[in-house]
Amino acid sequence: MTFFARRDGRREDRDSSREKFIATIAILSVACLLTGLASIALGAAAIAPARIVLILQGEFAQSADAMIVLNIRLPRTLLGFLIGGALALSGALLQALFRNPLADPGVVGISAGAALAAAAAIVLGDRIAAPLMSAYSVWALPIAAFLGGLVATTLLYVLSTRLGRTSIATMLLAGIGVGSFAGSLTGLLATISDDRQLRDLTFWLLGSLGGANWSKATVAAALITPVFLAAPFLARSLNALALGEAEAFHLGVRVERDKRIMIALAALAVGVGVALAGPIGFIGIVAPHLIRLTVGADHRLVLPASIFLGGSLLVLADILARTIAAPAETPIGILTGLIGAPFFLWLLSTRMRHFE
Amino acid sequence: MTDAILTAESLTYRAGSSVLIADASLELAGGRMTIVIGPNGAGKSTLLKLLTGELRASDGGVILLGGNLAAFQPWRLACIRAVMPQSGAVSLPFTVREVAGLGVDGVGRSLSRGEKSALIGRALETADVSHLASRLIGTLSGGERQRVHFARVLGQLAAGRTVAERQILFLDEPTANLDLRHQLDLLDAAARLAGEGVAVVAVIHDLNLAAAYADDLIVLNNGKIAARGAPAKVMTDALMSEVFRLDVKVGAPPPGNIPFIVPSRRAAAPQI
Amino acid sequence: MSAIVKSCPDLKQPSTFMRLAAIVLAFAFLTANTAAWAEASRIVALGGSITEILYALGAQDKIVGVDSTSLAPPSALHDKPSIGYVRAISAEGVLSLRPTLVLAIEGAGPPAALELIRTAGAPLDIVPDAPTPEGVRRKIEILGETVGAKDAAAKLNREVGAGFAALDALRARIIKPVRALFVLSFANGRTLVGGRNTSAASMLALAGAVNAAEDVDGYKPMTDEAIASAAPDVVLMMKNGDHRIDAETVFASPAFALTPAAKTRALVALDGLFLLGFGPRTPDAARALIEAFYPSLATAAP
Repeated sequence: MTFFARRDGRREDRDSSREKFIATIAILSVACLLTGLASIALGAAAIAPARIVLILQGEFAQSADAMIVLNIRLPRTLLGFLIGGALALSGALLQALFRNPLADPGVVGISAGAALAAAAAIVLGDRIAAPLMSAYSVWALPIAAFLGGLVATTLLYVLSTRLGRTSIATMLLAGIGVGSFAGSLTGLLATISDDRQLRDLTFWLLGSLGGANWSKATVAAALITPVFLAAPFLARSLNALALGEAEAFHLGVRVERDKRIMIALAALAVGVGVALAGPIGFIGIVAPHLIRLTVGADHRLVLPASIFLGGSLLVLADILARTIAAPAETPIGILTGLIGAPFFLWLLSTRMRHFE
Repeated sequence: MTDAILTAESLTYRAGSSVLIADASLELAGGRMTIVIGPNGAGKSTLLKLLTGELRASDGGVILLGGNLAAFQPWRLACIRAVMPQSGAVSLPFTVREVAGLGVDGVGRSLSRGEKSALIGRALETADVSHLASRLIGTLSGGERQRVHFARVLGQLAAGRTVAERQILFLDEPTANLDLRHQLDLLDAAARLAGEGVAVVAVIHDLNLAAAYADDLIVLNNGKIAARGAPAKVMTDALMSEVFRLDVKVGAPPPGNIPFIVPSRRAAAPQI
Repeated sequence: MSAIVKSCPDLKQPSTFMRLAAIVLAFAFLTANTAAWAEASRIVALGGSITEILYALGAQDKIVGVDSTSLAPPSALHDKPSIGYVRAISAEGVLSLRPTLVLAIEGAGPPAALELIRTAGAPLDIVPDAPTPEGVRRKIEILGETVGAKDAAAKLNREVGAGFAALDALRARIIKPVRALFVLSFANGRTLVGGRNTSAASMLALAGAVNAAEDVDGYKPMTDEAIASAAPDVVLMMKNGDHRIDAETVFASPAFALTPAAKTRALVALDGLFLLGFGPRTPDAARALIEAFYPSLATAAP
């Protein structure tokens, strides 16, 4: 009987999960590999591919080309994958958590909270703790942004939770409130900052991978990789949450605990991204949606696939950002917006009725 | 009653100053189908939420299989009891098969993929939604969606049975959007589960259906249990008048020549 | 191993060894230094006044890239590739031009990009940018030394110095200074003005005017009421190419309608780099301002 059921099951399974999972991840890995190679091969400086291969093998160690490949393009590509993946993952987490396919770190105020904390670190940091800021600035900004995002999300959570249940509508509205409050405080910081701080702030608010170096890539890897590894354990809970919190509880999910973990993971991913590259929009919406459109909504596949796709999308946008106007650089936020915003509107007009 | 799977003792639930459930005590036994009826606002959904653990009672408590309901781990609880909700909105574009699979996925972690797949397939068939399996849940009609959720709870119970022998199924207005045939199909399937030893609790508005399927009727009025027992004993002219404010004669055809159709429990439910 | 042991006795004669070492070191130092002069052959100029001064010194052929604020002379941005805005430069963009020297104005950035350029081995000089006559002369002097055009720099500095001296004489004849307000941007009802410690404030001082926004520190937004009570006699703005806001728009707004400047329609608009660049044309810019602020001096000027 058992044998029969298992054989029967295997036949039934042929169209579904395991093979789809492997195929999707394989295709996306190839996409990552290709964008990664392109990102190392392309840039304002023309370096022949053969020479790049030699450089990667350790030749020409002191040449300017080697510096460009090893100290600019490599860390930048790595940072692009990490932050793109983090943005896409946090988008997927928030969309499931808030049961709203249009939820985005920007919409629910996490980005604004993270940006406020990072701006505070830039402006107030050298007044209050100058030695600390200069010694640990690479870590200070991401950690401040993470804490800011966490505070913003926790505030939202407290505002919109009654009797242990969270109302999504209240949460989205509170998100708008928290977001604009944090935005105002950031504006206030801009008015009390001196010219140099204001310049730092303005450049950073544009969003760019331009400042990438190995120390930033290391910080990003240390903080984001744990999020990548932890998130897939939430896949079942996220799937169940699509039905509603009560239904998820009935299906055996520890709703309150899992929600807290999701909020913390999303805040960490967004905070690190915001701190190291500024607010970059639309990756968090575009990547998870493209995945859902093509392979379905099961988070066991959506979470890892979004990480891969978000990473390659951001690296791709960054290749454009540093080549289309070379040797000048186009702000990456403008590019993701140019591609992402029409996609968002198209999504709104065609797909929304199926999500209702 | 020694066979009780779930016992509620003087449940009271207050929201602000209003008392939604007052001093409700009941036992739910395996193998029996209990149907809760009552006018709008009587507290039927609140009672169900207290019994499923979704809400915590202000006073009184719920004992499940000898243990305090509030102390159960959600996963353990999900193996014992399944709940079919009133509204079936799904926020993400899941397919019908994936939604039905949610019940099996969460509870049946120790099952092989083949076993899970077989359980899901059987549940889809019982709920008559196999032909919709690859459709997106958002594209279905309200009734079809309701049947998918029924398939989901069937799958959850089947997966849970590998861990828990005595189970309980809650259905909150499961027939609200269904045509008459699917109403009967669903309640037949629920009755079969009761026949296999599951305690089934359903909130149903249609008094004729309630009368046809209930082993026990619970009549709620203003948050209190107004009557409880076999349908023939409980459904009286006096109760109809007192609880539902209806001036009717139970069991009498309408005056004049109006055609009327009263569905009744099918003698031999089709086996799947 | 044996070779090392054998060579050890040499160390016992420090005089010979040390002398040799000193000569080698001195030679290396000298060649390195001359190499720096000789190698300032591919320069990336980050900052409008740097480009302007390099052109004035006749070093334009050595420039291989400029930033987007290098608007003077107009041929600079036309002939040389632009690496983008001076405060948002791309490290690889700069390096792709294979510079042997990067000259960045104080405030160029972001710091991370400058750091990367340094790491990649391209010499990077930060040129101080004090908004004073002394600052202008210092800038010219430094850049002249850097590109090996000391004589041209000295000549340019004499001209610039004479310009500043003439300016001092002209300013001494001002009887009643005007109150001027520098408006950096005027959009969406938000007015950004130049307070104290800005290049605009320095320029107003050179032109013998009182900064009406003296109470503000840096470039900051100013409320309508504060502008009205600052009571500027004249409003100073930048124009970029043909784009400028006309006097009607400015003085129709509630902030400016009540100011003395509105009565006389006193709005002066000058090219941004000319006005605030603090390059070789700064004396001319200050003179143009004085002539605009004090028409009587303009006609009486020698």
